[in-house]
Amino acid sequence: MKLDELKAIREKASAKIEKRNADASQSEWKIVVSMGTSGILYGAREIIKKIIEEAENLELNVLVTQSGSFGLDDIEPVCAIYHNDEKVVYGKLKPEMIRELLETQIVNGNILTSYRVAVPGDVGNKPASE
Amino acid sequence: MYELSLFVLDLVQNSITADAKLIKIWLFEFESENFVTVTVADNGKGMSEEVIIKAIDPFMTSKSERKKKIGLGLPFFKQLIESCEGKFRIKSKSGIGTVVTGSFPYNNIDQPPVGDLEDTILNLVIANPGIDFLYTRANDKNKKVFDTRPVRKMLGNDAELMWQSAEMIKWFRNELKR
Ligand SMILES: Nc1ncnc2c1ncn2[C@@H]1O[C@H](COP(=O)(O)OP(=O)(O)O)[C@@H](O)[C@H]1O
Ligand SMILES: [Mg+2]
Repeated sequence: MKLDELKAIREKASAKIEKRNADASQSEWKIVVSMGTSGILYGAREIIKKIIEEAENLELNVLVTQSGSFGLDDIEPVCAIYHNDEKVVYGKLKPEMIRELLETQIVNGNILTSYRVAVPGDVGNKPASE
Repeated sequence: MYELSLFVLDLVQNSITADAKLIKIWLFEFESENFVTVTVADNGKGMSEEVIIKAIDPFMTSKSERKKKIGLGLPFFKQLIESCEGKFRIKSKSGIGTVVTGSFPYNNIDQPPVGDLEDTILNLVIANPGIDFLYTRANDKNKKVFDTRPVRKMLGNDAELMWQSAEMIKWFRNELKR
């Protein structure tokens, strides 16, 4: 492993972290992909790969992570997008729609209604005027 | 599932759910010894004897009552390994961790392709900034080891915050896909 390369990366990254910490307007986004057995069967591995790639391409400040099954087996693959205290769930994901999802939800701050799934705790449950 | 790497992903998700902080993954494919073995070991919360039995045989019945199934991942992996004329093993201890292994002959015709295991590991490493991974893959000619522990040490206190930076993602990709 080329561990010596990490020194330069650490310097660069810590400068970025300081800048981010100083900017209170920077908001926290988190994407969690459901990675239980059924999610994997329906392609969740390809979904998380694509989310990581597109978040990188769009230079988004977002944490991409995974968890066990959400219990929404009939609409796998599924992810939840968290922003501050809000949560929106998207189902029946396909790799080719990930870019549009990230642009709509994270870059523009809108809900991509066509793939949104209303579950308890999801802001999608609020009236449309929200 | 049609790839061994998808089963590995499924086993690793079990380890993640069990709050493992270190997950070790081995794939050995030795044609000379006619032997393939895949192992996922973790230091998560482990299982009691009772949970292991239930986990392996989810449709086990007692008296007339059918016990609730608790999952399909482990039975599925066990079935795959046994259909490859192999041996499935699970060892677990509450509070210590879990080791799941499947071994089967190299020359059996029923084994699924491995699939892109490096890519699977890459995305696991990136998506789990708080977990260390030790990945070892070897065959008769090559051995490859990837360990996030020295990486975390080099990055220092803010390692988790740096983990998904563009620079780190590129570094992980170069290391694993080399
Ligand atoms: N690595 C592990 N550490 C601790 N417990 C585990 C582990 N793997 C499996 N288990 C236990 O066995 C159960 C069954 O696992 P599995 O067959 O993969 O189904 P599922 O993950 O859908 O619950 C899990 O719910 C968990 O309680
Ligand atoms: Mg499982």
